[in-house]
Amino acid sequence: MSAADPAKPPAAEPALPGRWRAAPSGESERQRAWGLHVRHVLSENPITLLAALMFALLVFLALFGPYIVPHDPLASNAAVALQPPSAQHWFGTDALGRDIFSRVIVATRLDLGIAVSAVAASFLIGMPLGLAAGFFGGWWDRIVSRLSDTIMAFPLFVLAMGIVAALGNTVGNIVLATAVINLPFYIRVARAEANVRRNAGWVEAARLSGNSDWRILARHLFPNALPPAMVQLSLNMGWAILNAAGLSFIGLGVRPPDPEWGILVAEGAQFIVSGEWWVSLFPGGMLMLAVFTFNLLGDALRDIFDPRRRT
Amino acid sequence: MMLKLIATRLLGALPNIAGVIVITFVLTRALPGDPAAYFAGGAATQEAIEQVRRQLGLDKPLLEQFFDYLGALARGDLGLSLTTGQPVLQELLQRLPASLELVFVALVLACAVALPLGVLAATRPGSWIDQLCRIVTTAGVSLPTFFTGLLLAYVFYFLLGWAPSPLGRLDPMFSPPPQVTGLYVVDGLLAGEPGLAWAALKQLVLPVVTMALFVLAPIARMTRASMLAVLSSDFVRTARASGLSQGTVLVTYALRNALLPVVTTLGMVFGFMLGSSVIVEKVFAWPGVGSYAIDALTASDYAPVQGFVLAMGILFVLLNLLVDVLYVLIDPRVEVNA
Amino acid sequence: MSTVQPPLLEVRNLGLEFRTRSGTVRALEGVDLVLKKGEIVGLVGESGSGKSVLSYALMGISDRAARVTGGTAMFGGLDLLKADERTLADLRGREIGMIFQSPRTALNPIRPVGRQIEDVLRRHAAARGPDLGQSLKQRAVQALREVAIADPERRVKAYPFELSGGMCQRVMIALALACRPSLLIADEPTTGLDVTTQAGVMDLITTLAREREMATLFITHDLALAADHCDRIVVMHAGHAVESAPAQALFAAPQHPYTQRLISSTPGRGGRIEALQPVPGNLPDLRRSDLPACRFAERCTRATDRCRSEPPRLDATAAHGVACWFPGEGLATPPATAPEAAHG
Repeated sequence: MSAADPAKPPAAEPALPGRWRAAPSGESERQRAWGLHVRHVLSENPITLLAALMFALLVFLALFGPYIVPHDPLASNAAVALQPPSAQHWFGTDALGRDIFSRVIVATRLDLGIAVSAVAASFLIGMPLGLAAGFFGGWWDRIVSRLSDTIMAFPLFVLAMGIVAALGNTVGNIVLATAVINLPFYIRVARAEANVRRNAGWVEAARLSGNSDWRILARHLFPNALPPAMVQLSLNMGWAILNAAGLSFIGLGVRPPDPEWGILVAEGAQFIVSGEWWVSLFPGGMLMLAVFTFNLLGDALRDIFDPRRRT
Repeated sequence: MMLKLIATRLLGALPNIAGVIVITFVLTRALPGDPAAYFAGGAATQEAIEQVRRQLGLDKPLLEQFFDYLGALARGDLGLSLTTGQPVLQELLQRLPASLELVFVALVLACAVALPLGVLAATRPGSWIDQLCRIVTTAGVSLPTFFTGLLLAYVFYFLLGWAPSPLGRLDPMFSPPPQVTGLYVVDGLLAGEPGLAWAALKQLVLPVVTMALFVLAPIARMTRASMLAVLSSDFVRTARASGLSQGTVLVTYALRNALLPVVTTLGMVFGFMLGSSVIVEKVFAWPGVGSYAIDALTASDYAPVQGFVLAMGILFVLLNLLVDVLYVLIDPRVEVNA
Repeated sequence: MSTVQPPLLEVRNLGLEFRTRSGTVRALEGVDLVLKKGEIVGLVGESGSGKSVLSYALMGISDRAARVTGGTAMFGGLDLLKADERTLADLRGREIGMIFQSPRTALNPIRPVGRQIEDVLRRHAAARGPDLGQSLKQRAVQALREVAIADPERRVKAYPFELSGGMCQRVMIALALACRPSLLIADEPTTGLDVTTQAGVMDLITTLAREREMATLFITHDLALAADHCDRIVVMHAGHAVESAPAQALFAAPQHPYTQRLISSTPGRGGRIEALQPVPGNLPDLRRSDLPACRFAERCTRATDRCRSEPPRLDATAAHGVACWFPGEGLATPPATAPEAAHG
């Protein structure tokens, strides 16, 4: 019975098991509590369920999109250029007579692919760097923090522009640029976790029983840093998609005729002010939907892993 | 005492500026292909290319090139634009006011909407305004700036005809006013031409709203969270227990304290805005530094792009410094921890 | 203390509950409390007994989830529980002052303390002000002087983080008493302060209370502290007021089994640690719908079925009131020596 603020009703939330993987004992009980918690979060907010379904849909489209679209996304047909949505062309056609619906669907693969690769790269490089910085301190910390700070000293989109401009206008460089600008998030998360735990008693115990530092980092600190990183991952995906689309919109990275949501919007930009709204609207809408899905997922993940941080 | 604090903050910003310069140098050296070959031209012989290389100093060791670079920066030499033949620095400075105008007006607009929204959402939890705030904060971060801009242009220009054509800062019918501040609205008024000022203002609306929509979310979210935390704090309870009026409690006690974390958010907000200003400038043909860089990029003219990245980096560091100093000024506790 | 005088504050049958996600917490039930002018009453109980909740309800600053379920709280002819926010806001600070624990966090961290006092003075300016001739600033300085803060002209510009805990508490007292209220509610004002500072703050409060004939409701979990400084003590348990008696009488002859347990678990000078006996059990979960009528029944050795079904009522107007069907039956061990001498 805590003596917290007396004017407030007593707290009712059960504490979430923190190191749910580290302890070998009571595993099944914790996992059951875990499952209950996840179900609670999912059922409490139907929008979360919707986001999960949308995510599944996006993945499906990315994997199988090119095989199920009605028209060839690259086939141009001047005769039907700039047609509004109709039965044959659900999203209408663009200036070259290509079916926009097919192009939007096929673009899912490229956009998601870019985002996944970039975020994965950020994660795989940023997490170890951050963990090392937080755990070892000293030179590690200085160098990694300096790197992170320098990246964050730029408006990130501008930095991405600079990187792509410097290295060449390819999709690979878009992935690289997006990965670089996302590094600081993972470095920060991992460093914070490692910093908090590095003086913990059990870390000392692990060290004394002969574990090398790297082993401690890998087997103990890394799993503990995972939950906040997972939240970050999902939010980053949304942001990476926005970034990639933004870069494509201004002409970097993806080249026509490859369909990608940003480029599709750019292709339609000139027509929107003369009334052909469908060329830009559908790709833009799809883009928004994808980003929204990842943001909702990120919120749901946050609710699952760390409900206290809910805003 | 205050000056000493500001000086400390300034010194703290120097490593960041150094980092920015180093990064831009690295980027300039990572040019695609062989820059000497590019500058020498397509039909150049190997000899000619080598000559150009010597000329541009590209054959020197990297460290020496770095010092040359620093020297050039100190002189204000950011190179020449291949497409216009003008010094990059000059063109950047010329276009900077347009970009700054967008950023600051958008910030003011965003704050004017997000702050009250966040405050109201915090004081009336569960109400419709709280829900609205939640929707705004979740949806706001999903909006791609270019899409919002296009959508707004479509709805308000094409469909409703309320906004002028998104052709830039001024309708071609008008010519820009004599330069005093670089802000057309202000300069127009100063020159005694209210019609011009009004036209410039109308052009501002759509791009500014597009940018403001994007940053509305983080500001509103932070204000709401911060306000909620402050409203349940001990000192607000004391203020209420002393019988202070609702207004005093809300503004003098709650809001002033709640704004502190919001100010620190502004740094991040500026970063978003500088980035999205590039896109907004493209959509609305706004003649700022962003569209300058994009045009140069498309023409494979690299010096302006590098200059742009450097300029934005330094601008961002300075803006963060400004936010930092602002924070020091309004929070008396910072002195102790300096 | 004249018995003819009507009580300053009369709480009758106060009930309050919190609606939470995990159920309704019946935080207060049937609470009776009477305060006379100039009287210092200690409200004592464990954490969770409802003592702070009671004070918040009186001031009208309860949590959003709180609902008053019944009862009255008459203060100067006005029922505090039914008054509108406007009236209450006028009363707060002017007629009823309140001080809290953790004084440093209870003051606005980015506002000089003098300004905070001026805010209160300005708000209730229309009300009594024996020093109307002075400016607000001077009155703030004066308020600091009255709580024995040295060098008040300089301190008035200080921020809370620049002052010690004890000084912050004095500032809070100055804030609460600036408009000379007739009732002061002190919610655990000394918790978190070291013993010497505690003594200083308590002495200040009691001195000011006596000087100004100000009724004081002193809320604490420290029975010994209450015994030292209060005229009368009201013991609370699990949202019920269970005993009310003059301080000396309470210690000399506690009637309620809970009070008896409390006293024998409180250290006093000359006692031995081995002689201390903790109170058995825990506070019952107030969300239960099957709570016994007397909420101490499950922890009590004397409990019978009547205790579980019929709620015993406290007579707040009696000199020594107790809410128990079997008051006064002694424990096996006599209560420890009165802790009055503990604070030398």
